[in-house]
Amino acid sequence: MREIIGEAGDIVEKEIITLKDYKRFREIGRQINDEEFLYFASYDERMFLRLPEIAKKEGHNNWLEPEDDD
Amino acid sequence: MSRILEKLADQHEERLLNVLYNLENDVVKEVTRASKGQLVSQRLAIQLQPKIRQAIEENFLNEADILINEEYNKIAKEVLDNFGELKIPKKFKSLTEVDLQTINALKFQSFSGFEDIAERFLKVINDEVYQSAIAGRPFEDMVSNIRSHINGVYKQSNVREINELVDFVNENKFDVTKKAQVDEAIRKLHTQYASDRAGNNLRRYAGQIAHDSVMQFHGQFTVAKAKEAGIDKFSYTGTLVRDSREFCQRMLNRVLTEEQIREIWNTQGWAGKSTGDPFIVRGGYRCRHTWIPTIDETIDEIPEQPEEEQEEPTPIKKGRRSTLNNPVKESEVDVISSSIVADRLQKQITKNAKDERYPPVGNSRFSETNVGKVTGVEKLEDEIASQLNIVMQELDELAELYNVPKLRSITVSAKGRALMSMGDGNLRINPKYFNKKNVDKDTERFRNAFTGKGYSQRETDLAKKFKIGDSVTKERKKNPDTWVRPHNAFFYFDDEFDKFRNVLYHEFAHTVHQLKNRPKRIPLYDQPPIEEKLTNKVFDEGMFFKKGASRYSTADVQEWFAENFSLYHMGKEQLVDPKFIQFLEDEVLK
Repeated sequence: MREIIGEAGDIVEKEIITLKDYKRFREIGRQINDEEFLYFASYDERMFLRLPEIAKKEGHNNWLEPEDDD
Repeated sequence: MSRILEKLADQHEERLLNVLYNLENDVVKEVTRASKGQLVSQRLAIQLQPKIRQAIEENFLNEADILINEEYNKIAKEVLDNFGELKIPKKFKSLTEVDLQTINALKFQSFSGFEDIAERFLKVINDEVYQSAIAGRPFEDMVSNIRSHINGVYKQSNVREINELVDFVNENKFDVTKKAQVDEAIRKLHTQYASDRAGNNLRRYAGQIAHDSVMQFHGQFTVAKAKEAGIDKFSYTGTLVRDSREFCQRMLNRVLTEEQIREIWNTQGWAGKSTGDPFIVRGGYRCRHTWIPTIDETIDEIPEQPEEEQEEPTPIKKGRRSTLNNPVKESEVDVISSSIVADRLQKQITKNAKDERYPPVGNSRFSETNVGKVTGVEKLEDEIASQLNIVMQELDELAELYNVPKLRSITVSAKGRALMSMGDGNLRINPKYFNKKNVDKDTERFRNAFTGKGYSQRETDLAKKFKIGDSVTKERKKNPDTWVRPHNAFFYFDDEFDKFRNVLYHEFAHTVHQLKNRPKRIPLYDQPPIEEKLTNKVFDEGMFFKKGASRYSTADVQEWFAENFSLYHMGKEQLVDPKFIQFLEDEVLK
């Protein structure tokens, strides 16, 4: 199991999550391989629930990447 | 049944099945002509509907009409010939004016059975075309689906061996000496070329109704004539075949009174029994036996039902309402078109979105773009959409149980990687994980992640071993050798429908912690009450949420809640963290 998928897991579990974390998470999402697919799928669900925390800090959600943009 | 009746039933079935190939060609020709082999627009899909109706009427219904009007007189003659052999007054052996009226009424009734099926499949084909327009389904896929809706695995194909197998089956279907070879060809068609196809196609129903219609017409006219002649004894007649029902084997050649026959009908059950009158439906669908009137002096005893017969599994009932206590099983799912599901869900969601417990627009932490909408359900295969429709009934029940509003939007989209997500009653589903057909290299990764195959096989294996109480302290996220729990709760379920249901329950759990007891107006990003309680529990009692049955339940306290919730409501209490049950009782359900 590669470091980056562990890193994605660590990001969504952070007590305080930032826009920088989110950007890194999305970068990782574009690099995952077949073996890591399942884990990233779950982390992505977690990240969705944490978006409001980032929006609260940023005051808006114009920073959303295409994966999350409605 | 008599040889004449047997021959008629088989001939009618064969004639009707042959016509379905003309129908398949005509419908495909019409769709190709109108679309020029390109993607179908929604407008075109609607314009095609009368043409498709016309094709069904000119082929299927026209042949049914000819069969009934020209051939059913032969059945009536067969009944009268049988009466001719009985020692009864001559007046009951001839065709009367009343008989002619009865025959006409029965013919009309038979035709309406064919019309019902025609209407049903007209809708299925129209839905297929319309759904293809909405989903942007490639033309070739749409045509292939239309062919499947009509002829199932017997559809015409570009693959030579498929056509050869289909031709062989069609040519020898009624030849008993070639039954083994025909069975093998059918098996090959199903397993090698169409293993994922459900048997709900027009051919299946057309063949059945062509056969049963002959038998039922015979049964009804026979009973009418018997009553007229005052005969109340009947002999169960016909020949046994390899797969004859136990009931038919037990009844064969018995002479019973009408009263006895009705008593058996009301008190005994058997595999394949269908609803209706015992003289008309007899052993069940495709039964090859008939009750023939007799003036025999001897009357047999009612044969007892064998013990093991009572242990036969209950026939699968499709279309029933699903409940938390008795959820619909995979085998009970009545597969309907995803566009019909979309319509049904839209009505439900429109109503749900008006629930006053939802925060006013602008007061949700999550996107409100889709509130009140059902979007993209057509991207789900019919089977999966039908499953969604069923689980929605259970989610409604959960909403009532927890006193939270029911879901207010469903978006099916392949964007993002999550299987599903939920924010304040807005559900998002990624179809790539759940659709079973046309799986290519890309979607195989999604499928394996959900089904626990390929790289995810390890998760399936772990789910078979783990028990609550097993030590999890040595698990390390990045070291698979240390894992003792599967990553997700859905791996604890064997069939895909239950896995799908589990993910939906998990998502619904997020609705519970997001919306339960939530005041209508709170500062936009403040935690709602249940989430606040969960967070406080963590700070007060330490990392107590690390002992769930899945590794994902350790991601944070909300996922711990959702994973345990999904297992708790799906009968896996033995895998639920006892602290979850305590939290549920003390803080959520009180």
